[in-house]
Amino acid sequence: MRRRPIRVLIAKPGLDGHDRGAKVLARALRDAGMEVIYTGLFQTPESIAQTAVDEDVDVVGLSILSGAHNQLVPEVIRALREHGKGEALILVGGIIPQDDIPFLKAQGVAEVFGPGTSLAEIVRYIESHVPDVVPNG
Amino acid sequence: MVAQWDTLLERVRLRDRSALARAISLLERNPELGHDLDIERSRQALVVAVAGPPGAGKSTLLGALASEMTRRDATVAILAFDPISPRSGGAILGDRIRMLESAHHPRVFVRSLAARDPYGAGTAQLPALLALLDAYGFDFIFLESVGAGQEASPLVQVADVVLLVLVPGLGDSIQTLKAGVLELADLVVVNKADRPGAEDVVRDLSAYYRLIAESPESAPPILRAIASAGEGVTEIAEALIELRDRRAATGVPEQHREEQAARSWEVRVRHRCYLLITELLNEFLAEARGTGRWRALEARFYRELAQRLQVLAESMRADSD
Repeated sequence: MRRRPIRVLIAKPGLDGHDRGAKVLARALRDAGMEVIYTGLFQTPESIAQTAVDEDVDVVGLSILSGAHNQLVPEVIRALREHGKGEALILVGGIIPQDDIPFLKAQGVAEVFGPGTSLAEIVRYIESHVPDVVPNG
Repeated sequence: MVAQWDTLLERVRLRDRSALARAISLLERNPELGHDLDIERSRQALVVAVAGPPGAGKSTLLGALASEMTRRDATVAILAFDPISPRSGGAILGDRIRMLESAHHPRVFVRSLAARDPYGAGTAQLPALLALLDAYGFDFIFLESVGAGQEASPLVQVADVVLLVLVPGLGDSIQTLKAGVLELADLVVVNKADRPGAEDVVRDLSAYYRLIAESPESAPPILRAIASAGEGVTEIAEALIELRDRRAATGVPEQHREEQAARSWEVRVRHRCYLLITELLNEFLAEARGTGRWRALEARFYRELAQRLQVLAESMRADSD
């Protein structure tokens, strides 16, 4: 039995058109041996959840620079749970004020990575928080 | 694990989408689960390999086709293959498909897969994957890959139908394709048909098929399209639906079934051998770099390979008992 690579969905919900960070991260995760699915801009919570299910990802990374995170993140998480994908590790990146982080975590976000987070740190976080695929799984 | 697999399969047959997604993951990790599955495909679904040179607009056409199919109440699965990074083993998957609008339609299932073979298309589990999608009950299964241009591509080999996409302005590409996928195409689309030279491509293709076709009916239809504007897509969808209906009406001829089983087997065995050799080669390369003892190493390599093949053979015997 081989352990399969960690699968990560990188998604950009909402209306901000800046995906440079998302693309750089996608590349870094690939270089760390992960399989990365990138959805492109302007995704709805519904389409993100559908993609997470179809692609059977372990991690959903949401990149939000629009400031609408307090609205978008709970919607995505609700959609994920509705589609039966609530167990995915949910990460948020982008410009998130410190004060909003407790709220997001209470919603089900595992971690928030702000500007200046090193790519290595994100890779390490994912590697240590995605359980190894168990032989019986 | 087998019990879990059976439960998942049951749910897949009941059209449980997340069960399907999980079953694909499980199959990717445990190819042996697919042993009985691959030969038994009921063939309700029409499996369409989308082939053509890079830049022909295959993904865009596929997106438009998927939308058109869903408008006709057909369910569509798309398997998008991307090569892995040889250095890290990681991959960025399916972005060209994922960015299309149709990828988020509830009736379109899109799965991106990392291709670990030299064609950048397909895995040993490909036949079993198709059986799984067929069990779910899709009407059409499209196979898309950046590397699906050649005849040898496993995608082309396992498909029921090969949809070849060409564009004007590729120079001698028809010449180079001649011996390959051109012969296997069941349907040819000249995309970007508003560009200069489109009629030349159509003429060249017609001439070619007149030359090789045994009868005028056996030549594949040649259709024009401008996929980005949605033009010509209806006709392509209709042609595919007709192919599917014809197959459903007449059933799959025994000879064809036999041929498919043989191809599925070939794809699996070829891929396993390839993986085995590549893995072992990498181990040897890592070990021997800088020591300069290549000749002695080669003999040892073959011995080790023989041993691993032996282990594989033993595991097959255990399976069939």
